[in-house]
Amino acid sequence: MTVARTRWPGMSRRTLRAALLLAGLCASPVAAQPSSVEAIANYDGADRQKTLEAGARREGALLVYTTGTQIKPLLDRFEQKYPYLRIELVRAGSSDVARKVVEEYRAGYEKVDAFELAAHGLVVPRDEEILQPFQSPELAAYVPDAIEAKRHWVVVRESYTGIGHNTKLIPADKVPKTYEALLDPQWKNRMAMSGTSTTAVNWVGTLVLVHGADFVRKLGQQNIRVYNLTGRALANLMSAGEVALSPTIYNSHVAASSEKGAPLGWVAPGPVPVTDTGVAIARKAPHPHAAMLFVDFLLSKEGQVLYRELGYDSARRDMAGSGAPAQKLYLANRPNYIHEYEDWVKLYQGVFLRRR
Amino acid sequence: MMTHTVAAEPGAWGRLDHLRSRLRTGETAVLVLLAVVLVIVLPPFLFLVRASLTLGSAAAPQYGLDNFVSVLTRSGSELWVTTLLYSLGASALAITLGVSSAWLVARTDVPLRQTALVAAFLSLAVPVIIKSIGWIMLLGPNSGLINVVLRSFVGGDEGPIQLYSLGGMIFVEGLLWTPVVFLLTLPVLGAMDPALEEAAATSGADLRQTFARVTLPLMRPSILAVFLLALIRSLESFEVPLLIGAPGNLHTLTTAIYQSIHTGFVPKYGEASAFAVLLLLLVAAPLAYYYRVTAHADRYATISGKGFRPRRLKLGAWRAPLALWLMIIPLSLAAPVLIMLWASFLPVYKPPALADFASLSLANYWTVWGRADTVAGLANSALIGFWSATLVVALTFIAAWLIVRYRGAGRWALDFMISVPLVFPGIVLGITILIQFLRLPMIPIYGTIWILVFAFLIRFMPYGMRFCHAGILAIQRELEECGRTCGAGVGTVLRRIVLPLALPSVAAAWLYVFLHTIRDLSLAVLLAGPHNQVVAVVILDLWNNGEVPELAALAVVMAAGVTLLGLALMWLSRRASGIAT
Repeated sequence: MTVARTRWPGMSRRTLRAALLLAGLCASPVAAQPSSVEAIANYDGADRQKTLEAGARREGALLVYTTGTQIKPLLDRFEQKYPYLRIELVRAGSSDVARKVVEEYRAGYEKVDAFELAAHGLVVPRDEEILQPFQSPELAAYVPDAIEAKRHWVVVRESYTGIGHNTKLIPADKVPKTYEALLDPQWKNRMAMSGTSTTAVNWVGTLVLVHGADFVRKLGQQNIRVYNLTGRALANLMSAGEVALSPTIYNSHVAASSEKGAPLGWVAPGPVPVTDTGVAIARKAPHPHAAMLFVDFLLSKEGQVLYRELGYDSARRDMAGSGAPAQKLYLANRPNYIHEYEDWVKLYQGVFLRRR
Repeated sequence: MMTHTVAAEPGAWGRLDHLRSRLRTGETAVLVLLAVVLVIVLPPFLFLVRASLTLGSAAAPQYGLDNFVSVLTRSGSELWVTTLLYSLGASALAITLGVSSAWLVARTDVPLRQTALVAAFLSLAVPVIIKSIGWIMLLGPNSGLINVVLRSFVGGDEGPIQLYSLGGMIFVEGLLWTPVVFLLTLPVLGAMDPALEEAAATSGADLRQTFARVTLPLMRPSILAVFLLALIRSLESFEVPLLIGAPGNLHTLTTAIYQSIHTGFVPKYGEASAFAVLLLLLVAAPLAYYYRVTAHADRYATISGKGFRPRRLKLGAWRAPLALWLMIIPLSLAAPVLIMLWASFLPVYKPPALADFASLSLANYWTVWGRADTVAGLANSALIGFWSATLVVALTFIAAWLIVRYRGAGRWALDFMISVPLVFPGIVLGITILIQFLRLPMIPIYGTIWILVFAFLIRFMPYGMRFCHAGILAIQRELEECGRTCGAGVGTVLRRIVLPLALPSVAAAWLYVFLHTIRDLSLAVLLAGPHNQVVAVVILDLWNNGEVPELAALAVVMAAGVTLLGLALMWLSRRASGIAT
């Protein structure tokens, strides 16, 4: 079934370009101003900030697709800095956002400017050529692992999947501190894991990379109870005492909940998978200047400090010492991630989901 | 396929007369309505069929039957057995609890009748994921409140109640459907002419005999309809099997399919669609049976022209034990909401203990209320709910009336097409409608509340149909004929006779749709944009990123609002229809 692609009114790229060009000419008759999304995203002239601000002022709006509202303090600060920008959010799980934007671009509905999304949700939009590689002076401060190979996205916040436990049920000296320690018979039937979204699969992937697939099968013998709850909800069950020990708990959740008095502890048992959220911009962003200001802000030290206050860790070199584990695996940046992921799904479903 | 073989008529005038009579009998109306329904239902249906046949990636699709094969051959009989036991058990439980309590509330002098009604509404407003968390807090093997209390008597390390079992799944899913059964049967029972039951009593039948031999047979269409609904929905439900079954290593067909959707970075719909198509074939059979049963509508007409004074059966010695039975229902419906109420006052969830009274606060309510999107989401949800419910009810009320009153072949097709969306998996319907309106920019509703109204119209048409059908079936045809004889047109008869008499059912349908649009997560999450955010998006956001107590606070606010609204509407509709319960 072929469907004629009807262009959405007001969405024509040519019109946009012409408008930008015209606006650019009026604003600054001196230097040649970047006009395409690609040029704006990679502009590195000395007047970069001035150009972006002038452009954003004309655009007046920014549409961001993201997974949650936890970034609200960042948006508030961003709006304070650029009060002429009206920010709109669309929120959904990262795979839903991916699916949605792919369908939108296929139908010629190109309204989104930027993404703040879990990296695995950006993989498909990247492969569908929806993301525009970009350049920012802030990139110099980032570890190379946090920058997607062709600069389609940069990791703005991260958290790690490690071993969480209820401190009332398991004394500190008994807590398993390595993946191997989870094989101890005393934990048989006493562990639980989160089965939602990519948490479980990336965790299995990490075990495969660190200890091999056989180790995963051995761990399967421990009879780990699979809850189809998000990592956050599982941490809540843990603080309620329903779950004593789980190898799929996020450090950010433990930090936030224990501040409120929850009896939770967290350990990094060796290399841990990074749940990385990246910032990206859309190839046909109607407001590319505003989108680039947004990218710059999230990547800036100011933005990263705000993220840290929300419990997330940073991939900036000058933000070290945040208690991040020594060994981190940025799985989404692996060149063969899509295929590896499918193998890990099969392993996870066979070993943990349908236990014999 | 809708054309009729018309017996040869002598001459043009005869044909015209025939045409006139067809117009009068509503045949045309059935066909027009059928056309409208086809325009609404066919695009997602075709998408579903196409998705079920699509293999490989979206970029390079191939077509074949592999999805059907893999659904049908899914790892042995174990999955099928669990699925069937679970669905049948849950629907049977819902029917037993729902019908018995509706009968007690509508027809007897059992005490605490209003409590059951309040509990039904309380329970309807809360999304399944929140309720499941509530049940885990109550019955979790380690720290579940009820298990902890029971252990203090019987000892042991775990349990004694095993929530993560087949029984637990049936219990939780059955309770999800109990208020639906209750609300669907209540109006029918409330409007029933008590003369039949009184006659039974006069002839010496006792309470049990009256219920089993008079009330129950009269209720057959309603019970059958709601049993069908419950059975089909539990056959395709995946929330309870995922949340309650999976921790106990129990899997159904739907959880296996759910997992096949989520094996990559974007959802894959092939197997889910194939399963839906298979379910559709399954639905046709029981629906045909339902038709045979209700073919003689007059048998089930219990609202007659005689003036009757609704009289409640005196339960006598049965009053106390039956009151106890009636209380089981509100308690089990309200229990997960009540534990959420407790949780909503805590900074982090802990099982209830006296020591925690000091740390109770309203902080979570302020947090949730302080979010800009909560208020906007609630307002949008209410607006979307209002329009979806109104459209569903308007469409299905007329359709149900035509189906009950007219005999043509089109009526079966009409009911079937309205019932088709019953098998659409929510996530598949969501993506279908998203794609449909992205590719139809001439209908610019993408990103507005109307795309959600449209989606909910499709999703809840089948439910509106069953409510309205049951309500209209109870009205004696003579009442309408009386109106026609007195010179009233069809519109007047519908407005002045049918609608008022069916109002309790119609109101229940409206409420049902309204409540479900508010708590539906699967459609909202895909179709919500910056200008049509609904409260479901806030729920999912809190679910992913917030503390359970914050989620609890939002659930409590929603449950309270919905209960007040539900009670007010029920009261109004009963006043308006002049039928007292």
